[in-house]
Amino acid sequence: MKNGNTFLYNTGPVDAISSQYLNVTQTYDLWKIDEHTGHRTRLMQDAWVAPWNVGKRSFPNYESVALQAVRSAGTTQSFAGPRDEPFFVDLHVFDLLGVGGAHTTDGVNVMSIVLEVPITDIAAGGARPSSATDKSSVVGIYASASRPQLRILRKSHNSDDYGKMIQVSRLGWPLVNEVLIPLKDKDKYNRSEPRDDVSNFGAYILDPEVPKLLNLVLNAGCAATPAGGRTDIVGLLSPNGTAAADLLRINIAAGQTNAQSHFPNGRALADDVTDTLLTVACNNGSAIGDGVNANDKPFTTTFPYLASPASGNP
Amino acid sequence: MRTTVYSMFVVAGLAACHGHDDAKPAPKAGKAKLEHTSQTDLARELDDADRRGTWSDVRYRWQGQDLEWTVTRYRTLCGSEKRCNVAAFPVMRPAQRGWLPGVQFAPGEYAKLDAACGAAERCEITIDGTLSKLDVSGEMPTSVQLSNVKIKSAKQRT
Repeated sequence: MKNGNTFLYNTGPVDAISSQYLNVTQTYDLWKIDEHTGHRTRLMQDAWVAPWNVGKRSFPNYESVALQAVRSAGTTQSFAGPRDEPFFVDLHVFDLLGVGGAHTTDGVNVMSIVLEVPITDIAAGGARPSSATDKSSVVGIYASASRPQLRILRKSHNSDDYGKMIQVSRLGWPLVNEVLIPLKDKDKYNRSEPRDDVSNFGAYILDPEVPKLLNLVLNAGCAATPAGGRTDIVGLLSPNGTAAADLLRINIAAGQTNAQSHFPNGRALADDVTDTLLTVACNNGSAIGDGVNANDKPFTTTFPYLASPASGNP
Repeated sequence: MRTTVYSMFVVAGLAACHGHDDAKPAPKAGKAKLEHTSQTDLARELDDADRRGTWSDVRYRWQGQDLEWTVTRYRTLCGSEKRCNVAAFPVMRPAQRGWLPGVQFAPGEYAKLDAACGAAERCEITIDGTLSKLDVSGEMPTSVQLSNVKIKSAKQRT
């Protein structure tokens, strides 16, 4: 905070991320950690977080300011800040599966972290495999959020955080956490690691609740879960014979193209993952969906690809 | 001041542990063999522990027990000796609990399983082995590990 003697988030028109009028700023560090060796490399330090899009008076050209938060470190690009919510879905699904094409995420902003890294950085041995059927051609990705173990709220001064960072949330495939894991196990799921998913939650994948609910509430005509369970879903979560886990998978073999990289092989921003997942879950040979088929704003062709966030004062 | 705060948390933490999970002392004699050791018996006790906070009691009594269970082997979840989980319960539409026991085979037993089940994706198998590890708590997911597992029978399912 540059000036604490005002309630204003910005104290004048902001035309640059380094502007003196941008009163409240945030920064972050980006670390690359090799899970196998524990080796840590700091790729970025004190990188700017794009500011909130307060309104047209503060930001005559918001996007030009926000994109100054794009940072590069070698071949890695990074952005942190508010963006238009890229997930398009009828969230009325959580109101007794009341899906009907309501664009519930239109106009919503989300704080986003966007990373672009060379494929070879995540390939085993640093090179793209030549065979698309090889196990090593598939990488799995998930995101998690962690918080300090202990926060002491103080009456007389700022709060203190103590202890190691504790994982409080994770996501791999869209909607696995949300609709495959029942409430009683959701916190436990969020604390655990994908490598243990089969041991811990495998039965929920083999025998999911969604098709039963779709039939019960919407009379959707979904196929009954076969006596042998939904091994087809397990298969989708374990491409090329990899261990099944809630990981977003993508095949990175040489020759793989963007056209081949759509959910569940990767997840392009415009992929209608909700329709794909509902169709897979229902498993009756017909495509079903939530009636929301695209984002309200177009995605961009340049990094960070997510659309500009809605303005507080358009 | 900070020391005081820490101390208060330690005391509160101990009290909370005692109140919610009454850890049992190590037994002087050998552990009693449980009379009812089916997966349904275990599941019932785990559900009860979730209500009463007696996870360590369940863990103490079940860990180390020899079991004979009939379970389902899916090739996709148990495709090698090193990576094998089995379904302890039949399909319930939907599942009531998430855990799939991990299996460590006695020497030569995985080969026996593979031969008996052939290429079938699903196989009903009766096994005996030891419940070597039971992770159960109010915080982390339930995880069951069976060791020294031997195949008693195997029936292919379509």
